[in-house]
Amino acid sequence: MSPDKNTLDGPSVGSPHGRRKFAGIVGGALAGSIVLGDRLWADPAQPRSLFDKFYGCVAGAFIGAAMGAPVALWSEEQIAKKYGTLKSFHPFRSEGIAAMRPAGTTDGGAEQFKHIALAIIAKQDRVTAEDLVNHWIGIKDDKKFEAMKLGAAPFDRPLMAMGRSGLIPAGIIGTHVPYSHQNITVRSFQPIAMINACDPAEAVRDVHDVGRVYQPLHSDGYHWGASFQAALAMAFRPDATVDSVIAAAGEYADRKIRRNLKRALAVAAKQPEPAQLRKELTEMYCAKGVKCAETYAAEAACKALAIFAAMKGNFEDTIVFAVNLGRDTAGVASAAGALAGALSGASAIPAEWIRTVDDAARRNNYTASQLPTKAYAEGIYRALQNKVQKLKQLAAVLESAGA
Amino acid sequence: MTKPDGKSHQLRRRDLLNSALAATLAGSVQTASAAPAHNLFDKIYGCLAGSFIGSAMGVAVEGFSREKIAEKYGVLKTFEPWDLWWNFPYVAGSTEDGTERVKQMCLAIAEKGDRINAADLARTWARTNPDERMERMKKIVTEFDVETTQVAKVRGYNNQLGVVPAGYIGTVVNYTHGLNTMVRSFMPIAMVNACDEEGAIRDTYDVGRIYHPLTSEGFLWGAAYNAALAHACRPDATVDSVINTALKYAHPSIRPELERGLDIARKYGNTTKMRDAFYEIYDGSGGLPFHYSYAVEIATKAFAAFLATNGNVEDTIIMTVNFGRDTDCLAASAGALAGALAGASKIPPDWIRTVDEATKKNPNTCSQLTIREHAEDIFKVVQKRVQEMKAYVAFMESAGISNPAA
Repeated sequence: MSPDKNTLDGPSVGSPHGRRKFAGIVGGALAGSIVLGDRLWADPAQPRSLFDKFYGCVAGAFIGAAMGAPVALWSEEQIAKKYGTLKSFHPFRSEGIAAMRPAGTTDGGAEQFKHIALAIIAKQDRVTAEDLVNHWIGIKDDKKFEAMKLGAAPFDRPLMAMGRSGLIPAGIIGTHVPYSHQNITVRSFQPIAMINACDPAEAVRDVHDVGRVYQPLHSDGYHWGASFQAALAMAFRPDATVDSVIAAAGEYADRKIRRNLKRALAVAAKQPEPAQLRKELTEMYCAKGVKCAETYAAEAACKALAIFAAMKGNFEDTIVFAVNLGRDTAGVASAAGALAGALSGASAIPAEWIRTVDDAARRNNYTASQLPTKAYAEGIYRALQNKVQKLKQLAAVLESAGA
Repeated sequence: MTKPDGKSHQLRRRDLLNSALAATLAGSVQTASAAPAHNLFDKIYGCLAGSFIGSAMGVAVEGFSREKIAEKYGVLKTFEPWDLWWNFPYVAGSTEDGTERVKQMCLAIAEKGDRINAADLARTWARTNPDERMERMKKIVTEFDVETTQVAKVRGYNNQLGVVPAGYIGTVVNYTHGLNTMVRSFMPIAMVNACDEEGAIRDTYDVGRIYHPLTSEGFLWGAAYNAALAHACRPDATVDSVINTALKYAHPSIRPELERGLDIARKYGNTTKMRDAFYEIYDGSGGLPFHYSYAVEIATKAFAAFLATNGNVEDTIIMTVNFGRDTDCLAASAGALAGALAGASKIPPDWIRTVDEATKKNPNTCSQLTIREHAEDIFKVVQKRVQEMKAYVAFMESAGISNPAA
């Protein structure tokens, strides 16, 4: 499981050099602040169980998506004008669906999460691009699949159709999409970090594999997704802290993205006032006019990691900050929420929030699955248990063979 | 004799090789039956040796008809010098282009110290085949080997490698769909995934993209073959379990063809009648490039030969080098299966020695390491992976993974 060196030249990913650099940027600023604030993860009297972290991760992803969806692509000012500070769920409209979506419904990006999660749960192990596409092919009911496509982002609908046709190899479907450098691997690949919990190098490998269903091979999404999911994989460690999660993002950030990541984290490390943080993040990412300009991977990853760091991993603060920032509110909040939820566990999350999301899921006719949040966590957790058992057996067989 | 490029770091690694390991292994290989059948190193060594020997013995008659081989040799069972294709005088025991691919993969695995992906292999190609080497390279590999390497070496605006993502190289270079590459040349991929059938398949699908477009049937055959080869490394593997593994992982669109080949093996056994039965199915030329080198033919015949000889390495190799058509690819593929199951200790030591000596005299090969040195490199990576797996399992257990979800 050594770090996967995906740059073809330059310093290798995972070098001690990279680790030290990133620890220096945020470690100094945040070390010592870990014990501040309430309802934080690092209370040694209450270590979060691995399952609690899993549940928290899924909850964070779904809560972020559902709270951010009603204001998706709004500006900060528009949100402030309508809600003051948005911190609750509201109904919203989705493109292609006539009825209002009830408050607590997750967005199209969360559908990507769900499909990957369901593929992992079916396989009870890590999945490949082929496994994800086979999951779509396995949905035999055409009507149900059409409904799932409507619940998905418009971007995804032709992609899912290509996959389910069985005519295009899974590993090149993403080569046919018209939008590159997108944030799917950052905001929707949390199940990949979960099934590779505590194993960032293998999380990176799976990002590169499954990512090919969604993006052409040049996409920045691979680089940002690798860094982000490596960080999230590390958040499941019992000894994880905000600092260690951020350091992992840096360690697995290759040459292409390292400078931009450092810039975003440097902003967070200054511990600015929220208004100042919003201003700086918005100045860094304000492209508009081009399709999908708001959903580039760099923006989602940098904002999510910066918000997570600046909010010291506090779950509610992270979610609320992200959904009020404007632009891809659902995507950024989903990514940042997953980090915070993984670190502090579901027991640090308002139960009412999870309940609202689960109630909406039960009534959602345009979704991959109506399962409650906890069921995804349970399914992937059991898959992880199975994976660990299989690795144990493989190691034993190899040793008995003389390795 | 000048050494091929990229050799010097290999020499240093040889110096650092654990001498106790070397001594132990040296003893077990010299004695034909001393090494236990389940010895993983012996199997990895046997797999590579079977492929190198098949390559070197088969290349001398590649493209010969079955009649011409019989006329010239009766039954060919020795190494012969050869110079076809590149008009270069290769001494008896010299391996060919397919083995160059195998060696590059061994070097890439050694360089990374882990399983490899397409980008890793592209990087190794770029490093071990600088421009100064290209003329020599052209005397031992095919045009598509040269072209895929050239694309891997393309540098970008900042002089960076990887301008063409490795996973696209097989799509943009004219590397015909369905060729046998992932069967005949992916032994290192299977060996670094020893006992891990699904890992072998997964890496086949990744690395294979550097050679073939993903629509190629070569992936389907490669998946079944490399899963079977990885399975052969298990201590309790048998001829039947290796065959059953191939069938298990054979995609439905190719499985009937494989089953038909196995039926032929069961019907005729190790006889020329089996060879002739295959000529009823796979024959002729004209129009399609590399007409006798497709995965469908090579994989099917390789498994059939393996079955017909009950996995005997010598018999498998001798049978297949006398089959006609693509004798080196077939003998390499069949020899690898038999060698992985039986182990190097069941392979005539003078066969291995002849190939190693010819390698040392080969000015055009990308690596002059002995077969055993390549096997040791892969074995060490497997050992390291085992330690990493155990460390991960132990960590997860200490993190409470055994607790129920609650």
